[in-house]
Amino acid sequence: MKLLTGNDLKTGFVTWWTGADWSLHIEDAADVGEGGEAIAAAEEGARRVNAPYIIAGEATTDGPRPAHIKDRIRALGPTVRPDLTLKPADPNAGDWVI
Amino acid sequence: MYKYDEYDQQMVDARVAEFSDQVRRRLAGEITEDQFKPLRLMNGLYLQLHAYMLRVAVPYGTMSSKQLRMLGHIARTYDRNYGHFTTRQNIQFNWPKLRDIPKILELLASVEMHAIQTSGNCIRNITTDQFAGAAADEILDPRPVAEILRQWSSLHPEFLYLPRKFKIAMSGATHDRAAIRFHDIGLQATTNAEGEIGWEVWVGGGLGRTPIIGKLINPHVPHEHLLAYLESILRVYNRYGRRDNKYKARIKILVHEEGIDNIRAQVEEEFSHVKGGVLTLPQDELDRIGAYFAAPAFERLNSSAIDVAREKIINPSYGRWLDNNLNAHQRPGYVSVTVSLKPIGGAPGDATSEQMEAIADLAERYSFDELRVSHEQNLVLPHVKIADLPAIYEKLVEIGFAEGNAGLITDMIACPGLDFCALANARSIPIAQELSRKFAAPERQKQIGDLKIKISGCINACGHHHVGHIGILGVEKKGTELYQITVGGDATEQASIGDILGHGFVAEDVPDAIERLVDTYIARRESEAEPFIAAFRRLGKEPFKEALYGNG
Amino acid sequence: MATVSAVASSPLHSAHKPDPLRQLGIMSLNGMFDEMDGVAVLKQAKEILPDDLAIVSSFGADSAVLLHMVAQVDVALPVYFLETGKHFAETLTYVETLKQHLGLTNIITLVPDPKDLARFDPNGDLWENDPDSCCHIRKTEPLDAAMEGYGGWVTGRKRYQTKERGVLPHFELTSDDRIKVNPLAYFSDVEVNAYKLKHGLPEHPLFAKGYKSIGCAPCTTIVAEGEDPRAGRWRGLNKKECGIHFDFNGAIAKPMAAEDLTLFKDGAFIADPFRVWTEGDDPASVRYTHIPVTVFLANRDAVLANPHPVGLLVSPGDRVEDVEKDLGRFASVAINFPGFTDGRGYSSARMIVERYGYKGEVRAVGDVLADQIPLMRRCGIEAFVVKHEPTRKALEAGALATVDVFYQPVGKTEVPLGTRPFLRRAV
Repeated sequence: MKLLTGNDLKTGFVTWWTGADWSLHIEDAADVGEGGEAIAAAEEGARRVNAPYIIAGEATTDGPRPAHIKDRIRALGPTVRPDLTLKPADPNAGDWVI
Repeated sequence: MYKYDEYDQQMVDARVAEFSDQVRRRLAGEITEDQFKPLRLMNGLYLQLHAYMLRVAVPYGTMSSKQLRMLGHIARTYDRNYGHFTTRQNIQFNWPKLRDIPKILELLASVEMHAIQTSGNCIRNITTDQFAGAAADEILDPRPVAEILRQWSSLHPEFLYLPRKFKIAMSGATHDRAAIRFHDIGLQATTNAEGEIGWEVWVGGGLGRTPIIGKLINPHVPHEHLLAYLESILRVYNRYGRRDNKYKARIKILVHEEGIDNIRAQVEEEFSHVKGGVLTLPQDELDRIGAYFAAPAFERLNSSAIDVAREKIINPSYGRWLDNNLNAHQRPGYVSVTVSLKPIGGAPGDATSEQMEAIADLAERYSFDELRVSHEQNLVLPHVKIADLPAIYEKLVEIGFAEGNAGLITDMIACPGLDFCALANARSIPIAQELSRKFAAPERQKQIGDLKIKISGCINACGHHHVGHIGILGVEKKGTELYQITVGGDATEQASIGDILGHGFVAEDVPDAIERLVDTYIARRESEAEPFIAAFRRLGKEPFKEALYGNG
Repeated sequence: MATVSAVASSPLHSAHKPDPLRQLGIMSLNGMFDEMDGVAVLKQAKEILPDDLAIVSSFGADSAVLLHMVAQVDVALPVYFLETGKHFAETLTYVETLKQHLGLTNIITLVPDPKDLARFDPNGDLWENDPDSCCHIRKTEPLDAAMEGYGGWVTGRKRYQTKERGVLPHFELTSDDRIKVNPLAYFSDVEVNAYKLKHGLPEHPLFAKGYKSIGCAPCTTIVAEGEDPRAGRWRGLNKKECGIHFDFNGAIAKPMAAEDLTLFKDGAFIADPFRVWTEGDDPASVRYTHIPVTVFLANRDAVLANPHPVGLLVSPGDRVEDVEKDLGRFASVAINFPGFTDGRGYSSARMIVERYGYKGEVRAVGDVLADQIPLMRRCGIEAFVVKHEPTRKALEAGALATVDVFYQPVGKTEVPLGTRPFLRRAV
């Protein structure tokens, strides 16, 4: 599957295209198929996202996961600071990242 | 310390207003990201892996307690309660929001700080010896000239769109603590045959994907002509540095491709036009700026030696700290204290708001309100009375920065790596943390002695791996992190670039590989007095290669 | 085509044009004469351009001053009067009055081409709908035809008249490679009136009625006390100069759309006399074109012999050292910024302006954006060809965000601040 990601223009936070909007959570990401570039261009033009790009992902029972380690780290947060990730309370949150 | 006058303040305030307007126009869609990016970089603002990142300059590594407190306040209010001190004497905030940047810059300006030219293809923050104005081995205090260079390079209209970034470092002491041979321009204070103080000018050094040791372009440039000479170098570079290939755009490539003699001739030709003109630095101005850096009101103290052996018996941790974290001062009864931002298992160079505030308090109370950032990612209290050391140590224990490991194997440089950086190929911090834990035992560290490990998460070498006695470079191979190990680098006046000894290691195997290198050194050294780098130079790389890969 | 009513006294000798070096020489005369010494300026012009100099006079409120000077130099100098067909009757009377009073022997009246009038202004109301075109057929066309034969012409323009004329010199080069002479360039309103009084010159009959700048009747209104004297011309229309004073490639009085005014100079967007060099241009004969340094160096002799005003295009990588000694040949130097992140142009500009002392127009072309313009200015660039719309708006509004305290001495238009030798601000 293909996922569309970028950063929120105002906050800089990592965001994922859900098919209709942007979400901070990788679990909400939708497969953009071949349409990613058009969405990216339109969304960037509307300043709803900054520096969007398309990545390879895979579907898992927990939801979509980026194929590449860099985007897996982006999806969760720094591996060395679990307290700063999106799931600070879950000690196993990062298990799938590395 | 330097104090802004009304014009300095006006200039920084105007820059805040200008950048705030640039942010506004970006948010309003008047300029595209492609147009905004060079503008934001020129004011230290990146878009990193997780968020924006703001790099704030600590000019020549000097700041006051008020300034450090403000950094702590900004971290708490606009970031996630911590900051990261870098190898270029800057601090980075990892989570600021674009819409908050104007406010953050205003707060910085209120304490005479800024983010001007902390990134972008322009002249970056001028760095220097963290012990400047304090070190016993000093020829001159480089900070007055550094401040003049800061002013000359700030918003210089000709040099804001250079082929690539441009870094200047200076050393006023005989021992180079600022890695000047690995900067685009390195300035070394020197005395010529006539006894006049001036500057050796080194050019074309750098790390990154093509590490090169700087070359001497001029053995003695007097203060009065320094600006003209630097402007000449910059003009030659701006006009002829390569712009066709980002990876060949640094001045080191120009010097390498054209040859130092050719570049020297071009610079001299340019200098012949510029010299003696409006850039001539009057002694009056040097004196005026120098007055800001006058020695603080030191007390007349007897040179008192601390009985470290005795302290060690009473409190071994304190004893180690005294052994390793003090630097000899110009004044009797005083020392410079390195506050190690490398607690065992910590992220090198990180400090929380509370830690920053506590260190600011220490500086205010015990170090004439002054602080330094070192290129090795530590903080320094430059002017401390020996009698105050116990109180300082006690406070550092309280905040977790009392590790007596300055210069030892656990005092590592590490870049933020793939945990934070969009350019990285592999993580750096977890490697540093693992190594720190592996070599945590004080006896082991003492046994190993002076050994610098430097870790970068990609070829850009922000972690200075090329000049680590042992360097570690994270690369990516088939989607996994892999670490190449180099040996024999040295960032000082005995500059050398480390050798890659063979294939890389997966993260789990790195600590053992480093240990084999360390054990080989200990087994083969002539005596405890022969440090790692000296032993490597004597022995050559073979024994170390064998330690890593066996002799098959 | 316009008809010339007094063919006999018009030289119409198109053969000898002043050579370019002489033209440049005349530019260097600027500043040599006392600002008020219009007679000396006229004498010099007559000496350089014997039998090749004409005067154009509107016979308006101030025309007597220039014509009085002409009479002192040579009563037989040709004086052209544009009889547009729209003048006040008082103006026509005034032509005769001055002719008699000053003893001028060679006043030539130019009238519009009847075919043009029939075609473009059959009802005589073109001035109402399209004043630029009206000026074009009634002034520019007839005058162009008459001036074809002269190497230079004298005008009565003055610096003070509008702010666009603030830098008017005694001698200028025009687009059609002639010399324009402005003996009254430095005269102020007060000085003009004092001159009239001192020499007892007859007043235009309308002057006393409140007309300070008198052109064609429909386009002239009374100027209020203290108002810019030329405010009465084309009142209510966004037009400051009639076509005959523009000096570019013929496109002069044709109305221009705002977006075609791409050159930002002296605080306003104006029509650009220069065009871009294109493949196939002939360096020996192009006019008002920025010739690339590489082309110039390969065709140096041809460009130096080119009789027309030309500019030089300096691109990244060009060695300005190679053109140093020829810079004086160029009426304008364009510094090319192909991408705004390419900073080589800043060094080129500084060398051209500061080191080589080039005095002509230095402009930025290419990717010229709001955030770099302040830097360009500091490096000596004073004109900007701008296409980026938000940048155009910011410039027009005077709303460029910038830092105006400078640490480093750069350029020649900065003054030190306080006691610090390097700290500067723009003059």
